[in-house]
Amino acid sequence: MIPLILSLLGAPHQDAATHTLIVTGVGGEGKYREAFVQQAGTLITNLIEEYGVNPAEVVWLAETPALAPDRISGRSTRQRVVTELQRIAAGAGPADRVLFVYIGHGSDAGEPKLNLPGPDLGATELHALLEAFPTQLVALVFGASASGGFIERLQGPNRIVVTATKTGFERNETVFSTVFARAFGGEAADTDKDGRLSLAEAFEFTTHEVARLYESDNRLQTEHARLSDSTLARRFVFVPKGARSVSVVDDSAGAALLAQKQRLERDIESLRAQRETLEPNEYDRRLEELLVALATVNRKLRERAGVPR
Amino acid sequence: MSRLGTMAATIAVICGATLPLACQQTQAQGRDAGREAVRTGDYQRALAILSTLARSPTATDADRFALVRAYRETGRYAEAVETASQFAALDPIWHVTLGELAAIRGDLDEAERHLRTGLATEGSLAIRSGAHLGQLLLERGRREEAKRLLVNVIRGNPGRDGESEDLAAVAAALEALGTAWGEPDRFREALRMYDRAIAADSSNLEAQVALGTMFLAKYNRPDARTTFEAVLRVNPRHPRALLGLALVALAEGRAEGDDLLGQALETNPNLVEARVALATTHLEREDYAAAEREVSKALLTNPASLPALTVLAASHLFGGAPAAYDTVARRVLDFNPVYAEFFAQMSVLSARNRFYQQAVDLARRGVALDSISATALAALGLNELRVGAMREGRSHLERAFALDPFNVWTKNTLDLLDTFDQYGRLESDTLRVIAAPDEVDLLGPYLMELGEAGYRSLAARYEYRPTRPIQLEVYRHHPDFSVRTVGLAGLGALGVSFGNVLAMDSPSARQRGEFNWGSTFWHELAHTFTLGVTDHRVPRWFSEGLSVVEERRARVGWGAQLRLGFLMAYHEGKLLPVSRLNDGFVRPSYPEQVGFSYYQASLVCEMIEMTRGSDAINRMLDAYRRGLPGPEVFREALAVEPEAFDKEFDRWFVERFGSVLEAVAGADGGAFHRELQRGLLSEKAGDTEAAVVAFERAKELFPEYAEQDNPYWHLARIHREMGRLKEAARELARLTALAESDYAANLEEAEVLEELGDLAGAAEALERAVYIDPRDPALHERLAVRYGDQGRWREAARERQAVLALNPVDRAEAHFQLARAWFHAGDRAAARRAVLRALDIAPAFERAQELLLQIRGISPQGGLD
Repeated sequence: MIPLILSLLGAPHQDAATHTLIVTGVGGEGKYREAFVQQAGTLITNLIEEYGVNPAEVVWLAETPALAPDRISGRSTRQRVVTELQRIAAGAGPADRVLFVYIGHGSDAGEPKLNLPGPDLGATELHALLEAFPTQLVALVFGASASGGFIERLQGPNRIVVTATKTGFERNETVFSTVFARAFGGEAADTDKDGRLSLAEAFEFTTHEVARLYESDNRLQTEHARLSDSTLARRFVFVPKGARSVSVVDDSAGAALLAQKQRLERDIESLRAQRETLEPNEYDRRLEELLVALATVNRKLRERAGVPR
Repeated sequence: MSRLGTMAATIAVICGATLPLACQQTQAQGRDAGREAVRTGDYQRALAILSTLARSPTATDADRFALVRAYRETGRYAEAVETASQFAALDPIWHVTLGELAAIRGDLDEAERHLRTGLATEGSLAIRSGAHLGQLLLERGRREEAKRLLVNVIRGNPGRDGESEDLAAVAAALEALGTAWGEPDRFREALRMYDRAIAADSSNLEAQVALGTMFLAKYNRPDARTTFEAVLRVNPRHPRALLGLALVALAEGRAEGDDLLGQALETNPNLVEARVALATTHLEREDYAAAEREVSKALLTNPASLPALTVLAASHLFGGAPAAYDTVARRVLDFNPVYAEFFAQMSVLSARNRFYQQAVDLARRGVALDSISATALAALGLNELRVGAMREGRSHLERAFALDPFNVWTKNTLDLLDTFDQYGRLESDTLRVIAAPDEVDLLGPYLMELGEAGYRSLAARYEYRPTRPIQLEVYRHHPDFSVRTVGLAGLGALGVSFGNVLAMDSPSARQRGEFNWGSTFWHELAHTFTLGVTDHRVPRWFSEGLSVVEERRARVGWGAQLRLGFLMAYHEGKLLPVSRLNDGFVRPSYPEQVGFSYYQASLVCEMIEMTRGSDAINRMLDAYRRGLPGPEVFREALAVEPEAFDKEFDRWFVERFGSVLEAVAGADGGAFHRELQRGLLSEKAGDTEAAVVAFERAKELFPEYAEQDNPYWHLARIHREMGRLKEAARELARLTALAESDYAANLEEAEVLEELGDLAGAAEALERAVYIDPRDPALHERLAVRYGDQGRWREAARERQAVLALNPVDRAEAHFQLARAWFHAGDRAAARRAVLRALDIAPAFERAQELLLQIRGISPQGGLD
């Protein structure tokens, strides 16, 4: 079934662009070099193919561009990262969004840093660079070991910071980035089933799956991811490429249906809030009544939009 | 006689009674040497010197005590008594020694007479007599009188300036009070007092042995071991220190316990406690006749030894002689009418022999005799838990813990019980599963299916129907399982059956591939039947063997299989004859022996079925139920002498595995090993055809070999790479039929079968993998799809429930898929419940909304379907 996204649900503004900068750091060993490239490649593929991110707005910097020459834009040196961020800042509209993802090793000897070929890039310098995005919603994802300290250094208005570890002391190799890339690879991370994936959902998926991986391997979990602002992260959404949108209701019947749908959704929310005060059977009875009504309205809306069952 | 001993005798003759100064000096040197020999355990030499010199007019008390000690420590009690009696005229302190010696020999009246004589005096003599007499009266059940005496001993504490022996006597009195009246603080005081006694005289080995024994009694094995070892560094032949160290080793399940007991008895063949310990090891091996023989020797020395009589009673009870048991029990109670320890020990021994309900009944009798017996209360509580009486068990354990907080078994078990509130339950008429809530959800449906199928199958085979529901406890953490079963962490087993209560590790307690939790449950369930049908009299080897056979019957691939190590053990003569197979379980002599014994026992059961029919198994079980000793069971049920059966099994084994035995014989691992290596090397070199030939040959030589680097796995991989999927599937099928815990092989087989379009076969392989490790949601999703493909929607629903139990991040989708499976399975009510949960999480979930409308029968036109 193709997801039906209704404009009333608040899909991202159609004109806003998402500028994506993916940076893979220095590997140190061949296996990490390849792993970082593979994780970044998967993430980019998923963003483009699943969520329709414009390839022209995606820049990938890596330690060894030769590993994927047709996709990697350049070497991930400190200077190049700085240049790309400055370039994005110069070209971004006030309502645009920025997604910055770092995949690689990290370190924190008093200041969290990204381990790049040549000089590292520290949180202080990154913080200064981010000043160039005063109005844009900026999401920064650090999938590195010892990355926890970035949250305290970089959090601010219109800014979401995600780190793979809780603090700078979690220094072991992480699996965060592998799982985070997978979050964009299907519907599994869309837990509220509204057809869109928010950064908050991607984060929840990742933390959940990381914990499960450690548990199934009977290993002590050595990474605990953090998210700076879950409210903002719920607003940073990705809409599936194939989603259909009913954005305009130009007749009274359609408007009535949408209004009915909205009312039912509010009623369901209200019922869910009362859950603790109701007997389980009574709760289910009322919920079912509302859901049947909602499902019926949705069916009619889909029929009007020509979406098959 | 030693050289010095001869010299000492000569000195005595030459010097005669006149004792010129030179002779006196020489005698003094000889006596010094004699005392030193006693101290260091050279008893023969000591006796050679002191038997003459200690009687000379110039001899000191120390010389005389050393002589009597040498007699005593070597078990020559009659000579010790005779000698001490001669010295008694010199000093009344000898009444203490004579009292002790009389007690050792079971002459309790004589012991009391001597000790009361000592008690009538003052100072050291009164303290030591009082301590011994107090303990003696306790053994005779005269508790109040004993208490008065022991309290007086403590009041007479000589303080810091007291002699070491007096301080040790006070310590012993404190310990006795602590034990008999459940006063934990007394042990702490006793410890301080023993320390003072040892500080006052570091050569007082008796105080050190007493301290070590108290440590052992209070479950502190590390300190007990250190203390006994310190004594043995001074005197390597000290019989009671050797005994103490042996008891530590036996308690820890270490093999040197038997050897240490042997050393103790070599020094003192009449050491009653060592004989009792040895007899107890025979009891644990279920060799009741040997236990009786051994304990009879102890009773020759001390016919009033309550621990010896207790073991004798146990050998009668478990050996099928209830009348003899009653006689001994009466004898014990005649000596001490409130001897709760008898029933406590009988309870512990009953539990070790798997008579759990009997253990409860016996412990209860102990508590009735002495309501503050911590050992009886602990035995009662632990065994009530084993038979499923959880509330009563907990209550008794709490009482036991208040009286004896040092008991780690009690403490650990109470700690575990504190967590039980967090456990979940799933119950049918047949089975009650208790586990962590998420594990109940995950494992429960499979366990219920297995439980129902197992009950039906086993009830039919053994013509016995255990009381239902059978309780199964599944522990996520192995130490919890271990505490539940033996009270301590460290048990190596995967599961245990107490009869109608089973406990086992959950898959989360172990690494993937370490075990198969499905077959483990089935194994333990089979015990419920073999234990129940024999009133718990089935010997361990037979019950284990049958359980393994039942695993193999239950599912393809389940149950222990032939291993290379087993064949090596055969070649090395390390396998036990059937008549002694029980030893392989209860007292293994090398680490792998338990595992080998499981497999061997299963072979014995298979051989009996093959050569004498399946009825023979039930005839044996019936004979065990009637209490026949093992050899009699073989004679009656199989018409064969045990020794003849040993030989018959050996012939059968060689006939069945002769070619395999030959293939693995030789220092280089035999032809099998050579072919396997050739295959591995060829594969590595890329010569796959040569590898196939070598692996095929290895397979032919040892078809049961399914361990790491087995030929099936390599052949399957080669065939798959070459696109020969059918051949790959065949090899994998052989492998998964041999290796019950090979997760990777089952997944590989499922993939290959899917590629071949054999979806049913793939589902079977995936289901086998679930019983190895059910913790991967992707496995259940895959299996659910396979079942859905085949229209097996109930099974698909079970798999979808498993996904949910694994707490997937996408819970709405998981509920929806479960609803879908129930809907297709025709269970609309279950489907409705599940889809509501999906939509409760995600009201906008369109596919779930549609399913809800379908479940409600609402057609696209708005009407009802």
